[in-house]
Amino acid sequence: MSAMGFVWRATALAVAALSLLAFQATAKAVARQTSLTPDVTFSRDVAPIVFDACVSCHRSGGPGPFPLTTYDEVRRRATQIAQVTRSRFMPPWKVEPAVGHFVGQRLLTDREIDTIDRWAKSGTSEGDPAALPVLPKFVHGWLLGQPDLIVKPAAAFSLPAQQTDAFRIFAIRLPITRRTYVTGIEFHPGNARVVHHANIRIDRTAATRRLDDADPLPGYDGLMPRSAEYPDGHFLGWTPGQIAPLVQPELAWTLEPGSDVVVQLHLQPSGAVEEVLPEIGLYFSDRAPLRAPTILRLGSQGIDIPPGDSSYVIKDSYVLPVDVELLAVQPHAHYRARQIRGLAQLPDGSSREVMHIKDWDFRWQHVYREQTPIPLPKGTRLSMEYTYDNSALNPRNPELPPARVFWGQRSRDEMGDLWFQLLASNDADRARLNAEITAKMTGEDIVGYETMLKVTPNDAELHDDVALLYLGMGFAANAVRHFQASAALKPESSAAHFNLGTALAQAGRLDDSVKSFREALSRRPDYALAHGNLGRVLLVKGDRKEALEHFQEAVRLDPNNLQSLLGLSEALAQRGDFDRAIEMVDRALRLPLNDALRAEIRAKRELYVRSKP
Amino acid sequence: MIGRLFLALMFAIAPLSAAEPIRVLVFTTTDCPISNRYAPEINRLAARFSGRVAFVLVYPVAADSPAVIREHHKKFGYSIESLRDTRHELVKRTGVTVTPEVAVMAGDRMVYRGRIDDRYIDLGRDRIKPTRHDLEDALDALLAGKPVAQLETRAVGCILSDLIK
Repeated sequence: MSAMGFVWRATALAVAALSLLAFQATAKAVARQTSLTPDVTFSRDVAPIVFDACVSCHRSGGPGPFPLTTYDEVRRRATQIAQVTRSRFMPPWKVEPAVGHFVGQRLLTDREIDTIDRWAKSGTSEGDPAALPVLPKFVHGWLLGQPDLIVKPAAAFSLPAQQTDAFRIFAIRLPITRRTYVTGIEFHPGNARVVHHANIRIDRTAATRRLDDADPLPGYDGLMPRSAEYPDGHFLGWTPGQIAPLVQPELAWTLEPGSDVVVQLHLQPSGAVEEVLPEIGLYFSDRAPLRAPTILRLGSQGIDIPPGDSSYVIKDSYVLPVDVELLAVQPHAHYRARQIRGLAQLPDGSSREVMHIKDWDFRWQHVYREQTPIPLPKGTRLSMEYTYDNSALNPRNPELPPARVFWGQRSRDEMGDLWFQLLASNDADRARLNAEITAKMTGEDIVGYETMLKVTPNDAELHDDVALLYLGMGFAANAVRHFQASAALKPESSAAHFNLGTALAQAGRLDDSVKSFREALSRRPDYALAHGNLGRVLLVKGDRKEALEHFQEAVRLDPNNLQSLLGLSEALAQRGDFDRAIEMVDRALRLPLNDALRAEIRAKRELYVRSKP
Repeated sequence: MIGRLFLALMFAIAPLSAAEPIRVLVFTTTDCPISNRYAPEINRLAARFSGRVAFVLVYPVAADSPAVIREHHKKFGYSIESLRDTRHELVKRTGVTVTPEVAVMAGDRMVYRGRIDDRYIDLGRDRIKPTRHDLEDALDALLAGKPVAQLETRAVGCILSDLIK
């Protein structure tokens, strides 16, 4: 009792008589001293490790929650630093040491971890301050140099004092008036305390902006539209302490006027209300790029994990049709993923791991850029295998008791993608690679839509989207099935019946197609496109008279529609009225057309001229 | 100033109930990120048990001066009492080892010590939402006159032995 402080004594607190009996294991950790001799000192042994691996984030103004730049700052966290380096939570580098050599790789050796541990346990001796290495200098401001353009959202987002992580998407306008070539970006989180990482995309459409504008607060919470993409095969993104170097001007990516930078922030609340205003610096090149990488996405969008399944596996692979260089890898999955692997099996029979994370953590989304591009010859098989734990034993499982989980983009759904950035050696190879990969990824996107429709079968928008993908792939029968579902869900929508009619026509079901177009027109008599498409189907069916009427109506409603003008000219020609058919063709030729189409229409005109009696 | 707040608290709490007064000592440090992330939960619990349980923030680190603590209260929206424990009497008597860690006192007896909930499993490993609300359950039990189910849990946070050296 004699050691008590003033406040303690003055209040004659009952706490003083705490029953410690119930807690035999008490202040063991307090002022822990061991008998180990201090053969390890801060200045000589620990500071070189900390200055190399920690201070890029743990410095005043850095994204780490506290600085580790002096003896005193490190000493005050010694036990903790020993623990988190031993568990490899810090420095945050999730990839197995045997995999690759990546830009910004932060890995402590076992020996370094032992050194920190011995120092923490032996009394955190400072040693000779003269032996202290020089603390790295940190540039304040833009590490890649003064950007050519700096943009930020119109206003800061105020993150509430809550406990659960939050996501916020911003569409940031780019004040450029002409096509611009970009060699890189630098992202500043604005409030490093709460911005855990940022996904960055470019949207050439207004889709993200519309979602942002619809939310009264800065940014919005939801999903990024499909039009928010990685530009020209380049990964964009930010994780604390990492800055992607600028690319060579020959590899720059193109920014079109009217595009927005889309930034999705993963926010980890601090406990207080925090203002978040990120900033992006863009670096331009005045030359058009000569080459562009290609992004391959492997993975499964058919994920459907039963509750309790502790070892659910997805696999995917792709054989390269041309020689490429592997530039970067980005894994993506949500909370239930546990193990992530990517493999390259070369045609000579050798294989190498290109990604391996044993303890996947959704919080550490990162683009892993190879220090030296890895040549992968034609015939190399790239593959991925992810394992998920949807049991109650997985503490990161967001749903307890575990529930069935499907593929989906919301964080409570699951995903499993491994993205590869590949560089083909010439334009022909790149074109071939792009075409193959686009078909493969669209096929998987379709699987994703079908999976989402298992969860929400009454979402007409999803039916519409997947039907369009099916049409693009030439699977008209599947498109019909989804447009039928959509039209049944919104029977009053003239567009739904129009879409169905169009898909039915492509599937060769002309009578059904006519019925759908009539449904559309009964709801919207001035629907020019429906008149045009109905005219086209009627013409194929041989119903020239009615076809002509609908084409005439279509052209009357929309005089500059190429398809309607050509349809009308055909219908007129079929009944022998070549003069008026030629008149329609001439009107069509006054529209902006590409050369091939123009030549085709001219040929048709010639035919009509020759056919005239 | 902060010492006197505590003094006032102790006198104020005595007449609340004929039963033993219940206090929650919440050990914290101003620069511990996990501790700070619990501020909304500490405020929620303090409000929920307002008038029945007194929550006290205990600051054992000398660098957390009265001015720093005032700023901390403002930033994290704390309106509960606080106390500096720079000689670590409370740390030693309760045996807490990290921040945030709580000790629940019923009169002069410590009836619970450990985590607020099980959100954090380890440093760098946490749940999206907690599955056990240990502190809240302990307080509910006490107020209902029942024994606390689990007297001690392992708290996860910033290690005090380093911080108060």
